[in-house]
Amino acid sequence: MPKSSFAVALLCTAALAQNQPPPPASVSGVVTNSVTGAPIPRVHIALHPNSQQQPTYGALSDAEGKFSVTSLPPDHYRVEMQRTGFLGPQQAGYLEDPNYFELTAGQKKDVSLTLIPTGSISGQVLNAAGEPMEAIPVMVERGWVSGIGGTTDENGHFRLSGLAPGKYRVRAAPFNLPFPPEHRTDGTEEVHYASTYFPASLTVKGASQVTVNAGAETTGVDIRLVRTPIVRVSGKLIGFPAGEHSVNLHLEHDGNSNMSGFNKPDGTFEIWRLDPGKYRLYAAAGQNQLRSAPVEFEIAGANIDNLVLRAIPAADIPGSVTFEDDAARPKKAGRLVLTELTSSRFGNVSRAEAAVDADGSFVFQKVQPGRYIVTTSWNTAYVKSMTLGTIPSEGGVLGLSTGSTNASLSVVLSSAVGEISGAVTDDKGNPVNAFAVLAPETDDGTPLQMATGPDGRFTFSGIIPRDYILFAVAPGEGIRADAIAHDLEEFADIAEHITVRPRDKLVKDLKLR
Amino acid sequence: MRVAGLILLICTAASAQPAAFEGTAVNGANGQPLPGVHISLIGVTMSGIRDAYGAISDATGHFSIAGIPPGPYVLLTELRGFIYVQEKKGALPIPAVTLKAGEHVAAFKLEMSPRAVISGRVVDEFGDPVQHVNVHVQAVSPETAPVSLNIAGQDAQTDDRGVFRISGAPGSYHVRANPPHNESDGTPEIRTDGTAPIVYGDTWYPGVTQVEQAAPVEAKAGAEIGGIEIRLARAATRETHRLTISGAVSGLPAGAASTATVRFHYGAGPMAGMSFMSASVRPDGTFTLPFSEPGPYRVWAYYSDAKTHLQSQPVEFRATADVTGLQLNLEPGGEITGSVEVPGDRPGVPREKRTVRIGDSSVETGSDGSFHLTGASPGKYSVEIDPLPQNGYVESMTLDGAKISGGSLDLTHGVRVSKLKIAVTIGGEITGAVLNKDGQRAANSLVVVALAPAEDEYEIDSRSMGRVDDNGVYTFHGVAPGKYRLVALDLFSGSQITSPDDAKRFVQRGELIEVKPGERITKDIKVLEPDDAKK
Repeated sequence: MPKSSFAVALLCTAALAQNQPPPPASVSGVVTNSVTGAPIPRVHIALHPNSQQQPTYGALSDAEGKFSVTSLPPDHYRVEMQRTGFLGPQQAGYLEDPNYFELTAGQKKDVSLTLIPTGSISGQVLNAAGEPMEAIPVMVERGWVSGIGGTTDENGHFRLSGLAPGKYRVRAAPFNLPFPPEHRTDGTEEVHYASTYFPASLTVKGASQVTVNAGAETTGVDIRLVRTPIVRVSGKLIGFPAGEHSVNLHLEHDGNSNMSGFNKPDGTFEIWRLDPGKYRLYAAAGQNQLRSAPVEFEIAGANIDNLVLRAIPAADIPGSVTFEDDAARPKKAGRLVLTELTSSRFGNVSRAEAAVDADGSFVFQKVQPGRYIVTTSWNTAYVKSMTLGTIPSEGGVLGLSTGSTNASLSVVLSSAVGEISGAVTDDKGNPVNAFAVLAPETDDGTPLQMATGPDGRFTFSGIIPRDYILFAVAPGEGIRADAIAHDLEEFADIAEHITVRPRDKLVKDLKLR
Repeated sequence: MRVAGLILLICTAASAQPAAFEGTAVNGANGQPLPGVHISLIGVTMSGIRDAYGAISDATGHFSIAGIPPGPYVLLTELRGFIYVQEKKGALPIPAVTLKAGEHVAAFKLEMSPRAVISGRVVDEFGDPVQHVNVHVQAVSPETAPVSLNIAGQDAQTDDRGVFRISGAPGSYHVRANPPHNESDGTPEIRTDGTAPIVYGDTWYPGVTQVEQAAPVEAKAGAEIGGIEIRLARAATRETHRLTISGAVSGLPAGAASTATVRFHYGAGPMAGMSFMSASVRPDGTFTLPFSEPGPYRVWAYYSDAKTHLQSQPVEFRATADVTGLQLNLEPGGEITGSVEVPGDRPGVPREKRTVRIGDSSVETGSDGSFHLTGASPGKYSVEIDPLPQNGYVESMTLDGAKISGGSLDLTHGVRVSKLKIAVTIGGEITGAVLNKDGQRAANSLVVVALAPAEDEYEIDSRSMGRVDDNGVYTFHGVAPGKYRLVALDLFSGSQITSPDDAKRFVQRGELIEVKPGERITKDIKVLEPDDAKK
């Protein structure tokens, strides 16, 4: 067909489309169990259109696992399935959603859908003497999932179900109220247990992975709780106004954040019964109006006393931007973004944005004390270096733990981003479907994660020059989208250390563990 | 005089004779002594957990703790397979003991009950198991049921077999299943296969939506009541049909860097603004907000960037069905320029930086006491200034020339660009000791004090609640002149306050007190006994 008549045909279709709706499409098929091949009745199938504001279509599979949906407007659709005891391919962590397709006008599509039966983990939580422990919360941790949990019964047994096939860490986390050790006068001693990974580890590194198979229960996952001393963290608050607005202590650990009011009227505070590990603590008064500089510490076995949480009023930081090259300039109005670096996923992250004026000047307003990263609102530039007052630093990390001291900030932006590409192979050297993970060597950036194709290829482009770790994990073992340093610890043994310099194009092939 | 009083007060607290707590733990089922019970007395005050005392029962079930400061304590026990149950005493539904100065409780009988277990399954109307359902047990008569601290929790999640298991105190319970709610954008799913979407609602055992029709389950000590099957019932139509508020926003500046936001407040009276939701306006200017509760709503749109602050007039209505076609026009608004006048501030002398808080937006004052606040939302707020001089309070305000007495600002009809003058005055102060029924100072107690304006139908808000320190001393600062009712309630032994009417009745029992401008009043107050409050 000559090009012009094709265009005319297209125009006619478009014209027709305005007069009457396109003939609807339909989808029918069968849902089966991925392990047994048996049809599954009463699966709720939902077809979500790609276009926003369009309704979702649905169906229920019958006794033979069959379903049908008619009257579908042409669009791309994503299929979601729901049935207790099963997960769809995407819910189970598969790389590509096989149930995403386009329906053209009038198309009658036949699909076969599979559901993966979930697995479970069971075991017992025991104390140091090997006795069962009651009412201990137990949870799984894994790349994509967390939060599936349970509690031990009177015999210390737990069962965690609804799990996608894959590998998990299992953690027993005794609930510890934050009060001081009990005063006892009967000669006995209080016993305290810390949050413990299977089989008996306080750290992620020492945790053994538990494999869950589709439709099966992994039994005998017994966790022996590790006993730790009850330690105190104490100190004082300085510079917070005495008054009716209470000061709250914010404590971050392992990606979690909680608020607790252990501070006393005399301006001192005490926190008890923390699990071993690294913490970040700050105080905030009112609705985050006045904050202290954050203090970092590690609980190992001894009390940590004399911490000082000094209130530092939020301050404006004026500054100016210089561009190392023209490509680093924003196309339209650009903004600099200041984001607080915390070890928490859910914490109260302080953030400021500042418009960059035509002459390169900007003002971050009301910046709280803390450690920050500076990024740009446009994607062709990164922060190469900065000077706060007279103190120069490389990269985009800005330490404001003692406030900004009214200094101005010079920011050098560059467009000299780098690239890393490669292929992932299994132990026989064959390319495989996998996830490639690229994470900053230090905890001041977000890990990037990329699914490879069947050829195992991956490419990370537009990356900021700096030190990275790079590794590959099997499908279903990918890291969390909001991963923090804590989640990356378990990959330390397979991680490649790699330095990216400006405009580098590096090639690095990876092997699956 | 004041200082001397204070020293006396501290000495009283410090020199109080310690108490002792001793007794025997027994198995309530057979009277046999129970060794290995972990007993904790946890001292709780309004400022948090004060201290904890503990013991382990020996081979004869005997336990003892000495050197305990007098006061109320939460009684927490731990022994695998057992739970401690106590007759209900006060407003807080937890076991507690109160120790007097020098008291030696010598033979406390700690009767531990073997745990009672309720287990079963949650299924849908086809009989298929349903997972991730929260199952909760609730005493059939919570007012009279004995109290316990259940470390295992009063609820459980169903697993992949629909199975749940809850262990706790023996008793008569209603069992409720709360199925997870599916994410939905408000538009119901379309079916063409003859089936209909099913949404299950909260269901009581055996399969009813009203607690009045629920079958009670008798949980017996040391036994497991199995086979409790809850068949999920469909949710009432209100829940199956998620309702929406939709419309369009006009007046967005050309070339705006971001989109506008539409926000609603739900509810009336003091609860207004406690529930809210917001949604971004779509590129075509339309918006949709889902809601589930019929009732009063206030909806407005706003847009904000570094230089421009726009806000629509709020639209208020009672929503019972879908609301469509709301038109919200953005105009300059949400900005308040003003000044704070505090006694002692002198013209020409730089003033202290103060934070002005109106609703959820706040700003700092400049050296001349002026402020420029942006992003103020429609609503009724009490204006807060921080810091204030001792006993300072917002005496009056002038909004665009109109005088308002008190610190309450009504912006329910929208926030235009306004001028607000805030006048702070030094108010009165009321302080004193809280005394228990024996006339002794209620130190280390869980006591709350309320000061409610007598003219205002005793309406209590957060400002009328006072803090009692660990020495049993309360203080109200910055009290505006007027007549008040002053009342104290012990949370351990006092009555339960569950409704605004309860609260009003409670406050009416209080002492009438009049505060003159700047007056400092010292007044001891007796904790209200439960019988007094019930009458």
